Amino acid sequence: MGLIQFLMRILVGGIFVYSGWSKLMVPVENFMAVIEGYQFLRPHAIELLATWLPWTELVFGAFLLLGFLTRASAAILGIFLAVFIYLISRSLWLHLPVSECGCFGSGIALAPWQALMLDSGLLLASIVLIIRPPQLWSLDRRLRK
Amino acid sequence: MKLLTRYAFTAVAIVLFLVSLVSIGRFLFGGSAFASYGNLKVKGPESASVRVVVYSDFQCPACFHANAPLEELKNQFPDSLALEFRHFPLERPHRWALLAATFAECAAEQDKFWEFHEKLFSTQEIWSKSEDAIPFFAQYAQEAGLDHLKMGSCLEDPKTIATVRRDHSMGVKQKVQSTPTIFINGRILVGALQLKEQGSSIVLEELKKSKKV
Repeated sequence: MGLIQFLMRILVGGIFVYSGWSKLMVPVENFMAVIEGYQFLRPHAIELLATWLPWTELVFGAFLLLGFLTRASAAILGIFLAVFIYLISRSLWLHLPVSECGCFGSGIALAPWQALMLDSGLLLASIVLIIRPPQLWSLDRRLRK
Repeated sequence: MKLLTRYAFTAVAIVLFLVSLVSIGRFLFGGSAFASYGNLKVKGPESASVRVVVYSDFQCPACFHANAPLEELKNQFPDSLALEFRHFPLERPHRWALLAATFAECAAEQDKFWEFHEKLFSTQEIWSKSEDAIPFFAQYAQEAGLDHLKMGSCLEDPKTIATVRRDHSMGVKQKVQSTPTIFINGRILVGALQLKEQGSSIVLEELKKSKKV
């Protein structure tokens, strides 16, 4: 069970690190356009979100990957995932012109339904990590020694 | 308390490491935001102080919506703005995008790019849903008065598709991820909304910079 949780930690953390990194390597306007497509924020808030979200994804993804503040990081990323699931479902429900989720910048193009499935799986994994955070190869265990 | 300090120190160390990594990544992979090269698909004066480069896909509905604000921008600053079109066909979601770009490139060779461009966008909904878009493109070429023989040889010429691919590669280098992506003297805007909201003010700023206002 410990190994499975460890793999979940690597998977969720790794995906968020990649997601944040791929957005940070291109001009912020690209991610702003993605957020605009979901039609839920005012322009000023869009810029703020587009600037900060990739950093938080990268930082908490890295924390989780390293097993640092595992429970808190999994909880924060879980909240992100729940919001993503809501927004993608809303876009499908309202037939918004979102043909690609925009989750990974130019790295991986996922259709909204594919992103919905991925995010749901990652959310389940995050919940498992919150309930039973793995100690295997984690900074948490090292720091508490 | 000692544990808290250890945690705080580790958190700061990780964040600083990530910030450094991103800075290095941006430095290495950032690429230039704006680059110009010989392109037949330009309208406006050569000496224009503002150059608007648009990466577009003829089958993309968002590009159709960006067309009107781009035209407005061009009309607003007719003497000081040059509009340059670059192909960025998204082949996976848009099955006819590459072919449309190839036809348009051939129209550019006969100095009829902008007529063909208008035709493709105004009829986008018809040909993009068709099972075979070639007859539509051939008809538009005829209507635009393009030389049939020249068109045929241009379509078969590997240089044509290479030009489309070159445009696309330029876009990739400039970190274009979606269409339409617009560069106004190198300042990036993505999508019709950003263009409508910020296009004019950016052009004015650029003109002020060049002291032509």
